Formats: sequence, C-alpha cells, structure tokens
Amino acid sequence: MRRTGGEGKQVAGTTVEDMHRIGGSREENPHLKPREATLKPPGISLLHAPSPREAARQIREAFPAADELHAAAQVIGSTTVEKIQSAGFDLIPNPTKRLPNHYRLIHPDGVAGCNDENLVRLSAVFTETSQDTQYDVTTRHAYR
Amino acid sequence: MMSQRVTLIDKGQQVVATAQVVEQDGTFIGRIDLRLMPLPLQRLFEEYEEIVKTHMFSLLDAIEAQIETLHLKGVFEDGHEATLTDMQIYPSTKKVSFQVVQGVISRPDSI
Repeated sequence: MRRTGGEGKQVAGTTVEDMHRIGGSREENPHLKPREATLKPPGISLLHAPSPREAARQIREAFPAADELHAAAQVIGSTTVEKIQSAGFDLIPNPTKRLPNHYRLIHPDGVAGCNDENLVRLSAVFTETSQDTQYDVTTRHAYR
Repeated sequence: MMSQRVTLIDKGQQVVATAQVVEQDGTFIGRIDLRLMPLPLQRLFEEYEEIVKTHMFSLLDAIEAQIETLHLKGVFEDGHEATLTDMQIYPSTKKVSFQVVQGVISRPDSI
C-alpha cells in the first residue's frame, strides 16, 4: 500500500479493513455536515488504524474528556480504500496535529456526489463493529 | 489519584474558569465551572465541542490553533502557576482536559 501522507494526495488501495468511521456507517452518519460541505474538497472524516478497537482507543486517548465522542466511538464502521473506491468515493490523507492518521472521504463530484443514493452505496461497503468497552465485547455485522 | 482545584487565567490574568481535576499520565482531566468565562470564549469552546463530538476532524487544526493563542495558564492549589496546553473544554458536559507545558511553571515565593 502506498501512502504519501500529504494532504490532498490520493491513496492506493488495501485489502484490510483499516479505514474507520466513528459512529458507524449508517446513512445519516456519512452525510456531509454544513461545515464539511465547505471544505476543499468537501468530505467526512475517517481514521486509519489496524482495527476498529485501535481506532476507538486512539479517539479516547486524543480526546480524554470528550464523553459524547467516546460514546459515539463504541460503534465503528470499517472498510478498505478499494471498497470505498468501488462505491464511487475516494480518500485523501488529511493528517491533523492531533490525528496524524486522519483521512478525508470525498466524492469526485463534491457535494453533489454525496447524495442519498450514493451514500447508501457507500454505507454498504462498511462493516460495523459495536464495542462494549466495559465488558470487552466486540460484535461485527455487515449490513446492506 | 489526587483531585486538585485549578484556576484558569487568561493573558490578562483574569480568572476565566475553575476546575477540579486529576492527573493521569501527564494529562489533567476533570470537571470545569465556566460561570466566569467570557461569552466569546464560551462560544469558542462550544464550537470546539461541536467539531469533536460530530467528528469533523478536518476542522480541528484551525480551532485548536485559535485555542492555543489564548495562552491559558493554571494556578494550582499549592499556588504554583503553569502554562497550559492541549486545552479541551466541553461546555455541555462541563468536562475539561489539558496538559502542563513542562519547564514553564512558576512556584509561589519560598521563604
């Protein structure tokens, strides 16, 4: 896999589900929020991590007092770059100071491409993992 | 872990908040009282909270840079004053976390 690390450059595909969306991937979650629609290019956040559990751990470490985010991170949607591309979307590295493994999920048509129909297709390529951190239980399920 | 009270002050030495925190691996975490915080500052941290809880992480760097320019300091119970960094305040849950900039601590005058 090739990762350039610079913002705005696209990434090559992987076969491991190492791209994670906090809060899962049901249709409402991947929707662009108004401020995300103004980004250049517009897009939503994904984290690159070896597993959904590791992505959740990184979130708790980076934002130790963010209770609501911790709650959201009990559900993680995971997929691969190839699957994202197969759904018509793409990824660009977008490291931040706090999250150097941050990527932005974009559509070639920008905001117009992030429509309901395309987002349903996108959601279908994610596998959702629910994590009960208290009891260390992980439940994985794909949904279509 | 020992809970301690810290008073947050701004560049003009004005008290902007008080917090009750515990230190965990170099990070202070706890609850914060924002009643003394000026409205523009509250708005800034409300915006920060919104970005974090909706995981719009593409917007993080810009707002965290704004927060760093506040140059907030903490006055701890024993009187020592420290420059704070990595300040995260979540107004809706009244939670806070921050770190202390190492080497930028002033102790109260010793006799």
